[in-house]
Amino acid sequence: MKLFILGLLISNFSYAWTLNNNFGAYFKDRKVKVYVDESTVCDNNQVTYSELEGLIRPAVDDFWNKIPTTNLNLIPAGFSVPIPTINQGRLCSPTDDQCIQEGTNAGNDGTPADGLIPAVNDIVIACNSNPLNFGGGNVLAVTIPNKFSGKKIVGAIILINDSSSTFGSLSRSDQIAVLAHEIGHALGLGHSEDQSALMYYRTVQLRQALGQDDIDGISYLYPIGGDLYGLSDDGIISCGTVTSDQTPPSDSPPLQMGIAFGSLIVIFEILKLFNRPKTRTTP
Amino acid sequence: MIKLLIFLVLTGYFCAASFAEDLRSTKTQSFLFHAGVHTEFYNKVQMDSSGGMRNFDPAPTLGGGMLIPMKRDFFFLPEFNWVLPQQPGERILKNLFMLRADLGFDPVEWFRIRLGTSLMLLNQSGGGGSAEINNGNGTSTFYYPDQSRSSLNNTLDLGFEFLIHSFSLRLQNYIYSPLKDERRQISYSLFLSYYWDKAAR
Repeated sequence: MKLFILGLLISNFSYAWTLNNNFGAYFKDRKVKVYVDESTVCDNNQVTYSELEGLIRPAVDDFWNKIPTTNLNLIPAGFSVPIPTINQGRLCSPTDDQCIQEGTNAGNDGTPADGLIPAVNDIVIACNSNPLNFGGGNVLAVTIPNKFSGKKIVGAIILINDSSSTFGSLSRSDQIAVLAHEIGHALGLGHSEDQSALMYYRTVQLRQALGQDDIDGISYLYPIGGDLYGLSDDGIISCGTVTSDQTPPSDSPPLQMGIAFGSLIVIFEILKLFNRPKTRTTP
Repeated sequence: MIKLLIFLVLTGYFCAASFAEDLRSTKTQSFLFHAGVHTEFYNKVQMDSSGGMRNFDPAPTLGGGMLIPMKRDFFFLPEFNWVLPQQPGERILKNLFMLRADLGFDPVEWFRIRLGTSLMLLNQSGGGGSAEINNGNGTSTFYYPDQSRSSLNNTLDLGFEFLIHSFSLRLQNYIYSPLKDERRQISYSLFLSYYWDKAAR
């Protein structure tokens, strides 16, 4: 009994994931494309845009696309249409009026490169050398979901800090982890206070996988409505999986429960036939 | 949440009771009660900053079910398990419920193999609020969830049970997304079970 109580305490001590907005925003569509801006320049970090694009697949496949309790599917989608202001412009939250004002004014001197970075669809990654976006040379990257439809995210921008060379000095696996962390913000997650979580605010000694906090957070934002042995979100079987226009499933029992019990009943009717005692009719 | 729980428990009970009635034979039915620990996503969850992966989690789990004898050495074993609530930082309440059904086979008297399926219900609910957490060189306000949301998964299960009189020790594995390589994960439970035989009453 003591061991059991100890186990109860140990299992409860750790994590608390957070959201990066106060209305629980999540991507409207469960299939989210991740692009690199084709015109981005990462001179200080000495990373080419092709190398940057090569980091996306491991960042999504080794982390966010591995979780069976979510129906989120991140798709590396290559290069996006170039955004003129992406390399030096200001990235502002849609609610940050002061930032938007400053960014708009900066673009009025005839140099569009210094203006405001516009809202995008899906997730766009780029390098940016405007120090006002980062608040310090040791900040590796920033992410802002900057396009919404109601309370749902439509697009987010991830900017790698090219006003310093810190990102470029990281190992490839750390660069992948940084991108995966920023993609977590783009999806709606905030920071965790647990060092084992990818959403911890700084890089750690070795990042191999998501922490429990990350899994729980993304499962809350993008819960799967019924995964029939992993087939549901391939479109092969569609049994009440949450569509992009619905709020995530609440507490009402979905169709899958009916299917599960229906299957059990069918199996048992078959088993009953097997189990039926043999009766012999006498002439 | 409570409505869902009542639905799961009652449906499970009535299904099992109905099947038991249908399948009644000269053998006896038993009820089983078990306690144990549950590890989610074996070796796929980072547990520290140096890259260590989680192989064991002492998350306490309780459950109960029935053993319904069938032909020869086969059994039907429906059960309901509950991984007790975990309350990270007293902000988010996490519950995992399993509605399970196994087909059991005893190749020898002291050993049972179970093959079955589960409906896994992961529920998380939060009371809202916010916290100042490190962000870059300063801190920022981050927010806790204020709703209740659930994920539902079907799993393919395989269990090995060692039987000693009325007790048993069981390793129960749950395979998430068995047909999808990239999302396949394995969770497991270790249970100590007690079989209560109605005939022995």
